[in-house]
Amino acid sequence: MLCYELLTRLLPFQGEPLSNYDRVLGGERPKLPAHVTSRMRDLLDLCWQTEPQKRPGWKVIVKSLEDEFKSHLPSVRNPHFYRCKEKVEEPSKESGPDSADPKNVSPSTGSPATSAEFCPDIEHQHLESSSTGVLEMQGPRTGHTTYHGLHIISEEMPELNPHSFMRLWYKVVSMYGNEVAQRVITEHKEIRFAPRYIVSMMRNLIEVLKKHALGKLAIIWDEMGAKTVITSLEEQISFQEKCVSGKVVVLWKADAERDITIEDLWEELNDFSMKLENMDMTIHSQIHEFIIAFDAAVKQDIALECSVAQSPAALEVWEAVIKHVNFNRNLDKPQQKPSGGDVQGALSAWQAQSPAGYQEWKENRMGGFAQKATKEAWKVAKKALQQVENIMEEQTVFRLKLDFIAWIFPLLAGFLSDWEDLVDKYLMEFQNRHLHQSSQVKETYDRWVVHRKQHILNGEDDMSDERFAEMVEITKKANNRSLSLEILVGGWNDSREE
Amino acid sequence: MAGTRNRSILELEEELESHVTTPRQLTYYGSAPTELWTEPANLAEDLQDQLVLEEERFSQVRLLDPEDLSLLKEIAEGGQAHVFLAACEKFSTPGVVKRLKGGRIDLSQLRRRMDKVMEIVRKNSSAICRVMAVGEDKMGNGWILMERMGCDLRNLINNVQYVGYVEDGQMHYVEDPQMPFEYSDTIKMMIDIARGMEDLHSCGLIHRDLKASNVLVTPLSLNSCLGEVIGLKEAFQSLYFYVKIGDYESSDHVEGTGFFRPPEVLQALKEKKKSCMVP
Repeated sequence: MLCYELLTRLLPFQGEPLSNYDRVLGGERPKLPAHVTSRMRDLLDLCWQTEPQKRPGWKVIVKSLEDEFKSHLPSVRNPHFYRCKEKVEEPSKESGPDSADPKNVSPSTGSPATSAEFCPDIEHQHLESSSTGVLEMQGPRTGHTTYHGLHIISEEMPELNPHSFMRLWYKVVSMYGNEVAQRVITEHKEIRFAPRYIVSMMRNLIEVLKKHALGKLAIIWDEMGAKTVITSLEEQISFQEKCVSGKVVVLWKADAERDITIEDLWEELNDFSMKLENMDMTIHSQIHEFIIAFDAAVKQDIALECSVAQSPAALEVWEAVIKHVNFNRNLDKPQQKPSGGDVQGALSAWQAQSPAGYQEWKENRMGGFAQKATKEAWKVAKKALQQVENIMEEQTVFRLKLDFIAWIFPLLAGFLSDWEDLVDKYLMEFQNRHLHQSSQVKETYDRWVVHRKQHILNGEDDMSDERFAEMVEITKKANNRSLSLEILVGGWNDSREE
Repeated sequence: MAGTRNRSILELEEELESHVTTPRQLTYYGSAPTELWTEPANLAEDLQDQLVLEEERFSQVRLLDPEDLSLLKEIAEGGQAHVFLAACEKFSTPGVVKRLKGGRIDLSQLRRRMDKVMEIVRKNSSAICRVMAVGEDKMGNGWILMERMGCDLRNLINNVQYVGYVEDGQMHYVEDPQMPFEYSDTIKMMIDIARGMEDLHSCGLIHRDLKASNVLVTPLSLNSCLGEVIGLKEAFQSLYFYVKIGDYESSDHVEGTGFFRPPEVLQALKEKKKSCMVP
């Protein structure tokens, strides 16, 4: 009956009293109009059999619908578009400015396309149905050329946009070819999305492609062989890549001259897996290095604070300075800007309270020196982090490739379930690793905070001249990346235990 | 080291003064290296976001506490449920919630069942409306948080005004076409729905009330920049509608609707028998 609705726009036995079952029980069925094909007619006749046993199962239905689809392949150069009736709340008042807008004129008739009221729920009431997720259509707004549900969806559900955009993008590429797509890419840079959306968007794309593959592309596959499918997909995927990452990424290229076999794909997959593994290793070491450099920087920072915090008065100086820093970064947003006098006052108080400590600090200028050393260490840390990010980006591309193969392979190999499991397993493993990495970064930060507090509370000062010189040396070495990481970690751990 | 110590006190004081008057240079003093932390913090956040995204895809149907929901407005009411637009901080995707009618539910059974369906939805990308979470309130009413779609198919069929197509670079229109959609699109929708029904049946769920108003659609809406490039901005609003089967969650005691029901059900109803549960 749903097919009947789709084919005729009508409800079954529309206008008939709902309790009049006798027509159906007497063998009458809804009349199909002339434009319904004979194959579809046969299918519906089968589905409308009185005996439930004679009705086809879903597999048979899907198969015959696919056959029907095959014989009515859409013309890719003649895409169809749909326009819905527009809703008019108060035709007498509101139609004035709208109909004056030339864009609101129906292109075929030249008259305003406001013929019918948009009444979403009229049909439902007498059907006593429950309907899910009906998006309420809103009234017209001045200044909008179109204002039916689609617009409201895109306004209210911005989250949907990337996804529907990708679907649309696929459609555009397949219908208009790459020329138009290229123009869109070059002229509208806003369609480039942040890298972190790539994976999820790509997944969506693959879902959509899957749908199409099961319909249109699977048929092309039957008729024209593997090469066509792969070439067209390759084009589309590479366009997706350009679109989402904003730069040309060389995707997995099938050799156009030779036939692609399942073995080839296996090889490709293994190759990717290996590369992915290697990247993971590199990421791991890079993050390790980042943590080391970070630790070194933290060490300098703590030392600096300890050097200041030799007495409570010194701590006040430090706090006053921090207040300034925070104000300048708009972190605290105090009522009044702290005056420089606070710091000066605190300094004087310190000087009065423990002149020796103040003098020593001032003469040694350890803080200033440590500051520079810290800066250096931070530079190293940031550089390492940058590299990690670069690799992560590269890795994303590989994940895309893996996803792509995960999709194409079952299609070619006839839906091997165990292979899919393998890919799923691998992806899960990959996610777990990411989780581990991010938790590592967080742990380091927490550790740093705790240790800093401890040092301040204990009033520890390990900034002897030798120690300081050693630290500078370490920082320099870290900067040159020539230091054995283990030694640094060991040293740092030792000093922590002390 | 030596260079530092040889500096005069005056110079040091000047330096200190400059630090105090221009605190921005004190970035590396003490705690709060916020600027430095921007990158690692973002990196961790990015990873986390990505994981959340992935988690949403792979995780099971979650438990929902109706008190976490803020109901925006009721958008529909049917025989089995009230449907609301809802926002929930715990779920990033916007959704609709259904408050099931018919008294106390078996939450764990509902959740198991939905899990089973979502598993197959994830596996086959079936055209079945996604359930994100289920829960029950203090009264024992069932709540289901579902993905939000554009509107229902019946609504769309009633309101598709014309079909346009491009031929020889020109836009042509079919006013009030016999079929609401182009034929191949119609068949594509049918295939999607049939596959979805096959999957539902494979989970042991019988829909019992399949009709256009229980199928939900989301349009492939056009981004304005694309419209400009193609040069047909006003001509069309949608290229295709993606369909998904809805209203399958609590179909145990559903009798169906009007003439959508098969003859044996109508016969049973006529004979005042209890609804027979024939697929």
